[in-house]
Amino acid sequence: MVRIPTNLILRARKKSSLLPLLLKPCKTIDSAEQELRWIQNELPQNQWLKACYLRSNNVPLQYILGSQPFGDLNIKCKKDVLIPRWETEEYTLKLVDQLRSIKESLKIIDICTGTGCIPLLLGSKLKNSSVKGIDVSEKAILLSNENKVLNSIPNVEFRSGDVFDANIVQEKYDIVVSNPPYISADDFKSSSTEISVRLYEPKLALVGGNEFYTALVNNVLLSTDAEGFLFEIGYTHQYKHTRNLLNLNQWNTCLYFDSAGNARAIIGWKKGSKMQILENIR
Amino acid sequence: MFALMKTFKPSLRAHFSIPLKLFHTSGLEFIKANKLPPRPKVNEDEITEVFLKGGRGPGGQKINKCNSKVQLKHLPTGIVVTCQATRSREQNRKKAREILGMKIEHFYDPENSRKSVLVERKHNIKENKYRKNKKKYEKLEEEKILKDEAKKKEEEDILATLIDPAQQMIKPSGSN
Repeated sequence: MVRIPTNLILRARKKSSLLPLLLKPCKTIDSAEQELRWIQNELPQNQWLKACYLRSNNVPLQYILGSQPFGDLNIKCKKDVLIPRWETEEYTLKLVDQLRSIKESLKIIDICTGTGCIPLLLGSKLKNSSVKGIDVSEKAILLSNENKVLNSIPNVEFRSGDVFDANIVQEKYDIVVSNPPYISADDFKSSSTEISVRLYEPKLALVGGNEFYTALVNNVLLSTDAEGFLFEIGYTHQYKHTRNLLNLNQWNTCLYFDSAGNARAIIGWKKGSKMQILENIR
Repeated sequence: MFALMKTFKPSLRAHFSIPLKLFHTSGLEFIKANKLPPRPKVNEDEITEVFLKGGRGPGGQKINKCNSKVQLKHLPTGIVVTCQATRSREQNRKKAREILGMKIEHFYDPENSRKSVLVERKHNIKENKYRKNKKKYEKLEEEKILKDEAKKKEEEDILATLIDPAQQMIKPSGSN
């Protein structure tokens, strides 16, 4: 825990009596001021103090405000469901750009959908496609259906299902997308995972490993006859693991880096198929 | 029934006020007279866009950042603009382009740009407000002076009427 200098607290106090509370999670006055501005913009005045107290206890701001922007959608966020990350937003928008060039209607499936952000953004941008979201958590399914109604996107559906169930999907799909839990148990305990994530976000959606990628390839990718996939990853060894599961005579893969320069996803497509365009995602 | 109508009344009024406004010619003239130059567009080929995420780290599920700063650079002029007004990256991108567009237009044509019109308008509004304020207080001051004078006169009159008998009273006592 980094100690906050006293003069920083005093300077913050001069600007607003609520600001010192936000210094604990934000560290600098600038970012604290910004969070305060968002709290003041989005919540009624009688909730400001409570919101700042919650935030000073490291509750994620999205749970306090109840939402997170994702593309041009507004995604509702609730306890026990993972908050959408900007990296996910970034590659989903890039995926939309590529899939737009395919004129025919696509069938897309998203596993471990959480708030439903990925299917909803894909569905809202690709009007003639049909998107399915599956999650093991009932709370996530309830929330994703709420988000569907909130953003009024008709071509998306959600249902519950476990990725480790060999019969999770029966239908055929063109492309599989997933953001499975990928943080290793050791890293989850260490300081490399943000304290607000560790304390308040669901462990079910965060801690996982190679077994998820094995299940995704065997239970979903191969059984749906999909021609392309995009799985979010946290470490490069997850890329290697997933690649080794595939028949490389048929499949091509590439490692996608986000704009912060971290390895963020494995993208794969069947050689010679219409999903070849996925190689353009950079 | 009556209560029901009462609850509907404001919405009905709002509903009818829209077409009414359309036929209100003086209103239209008012809009035209204050029409601004259009929002300048930015040529996407001439700019570079960077997303600043404050701090390095593993990212992904391990970190939950809610800020999303967008930085735009216009290559021909070297103008740099950043925006983190909202939590939404898409909104920030739009806003940053608006600001950059205004700045570029102002750079090439400072006299007729939207920015200078906006600045002038703001200045005019401020000046008008100041003038109005000044007028109001001048008027108040004048009234106050007039009132004070009237009051003084009244007091003097009262005093005069009071002093007269008093002096008459003092005079005989003084002579004694």
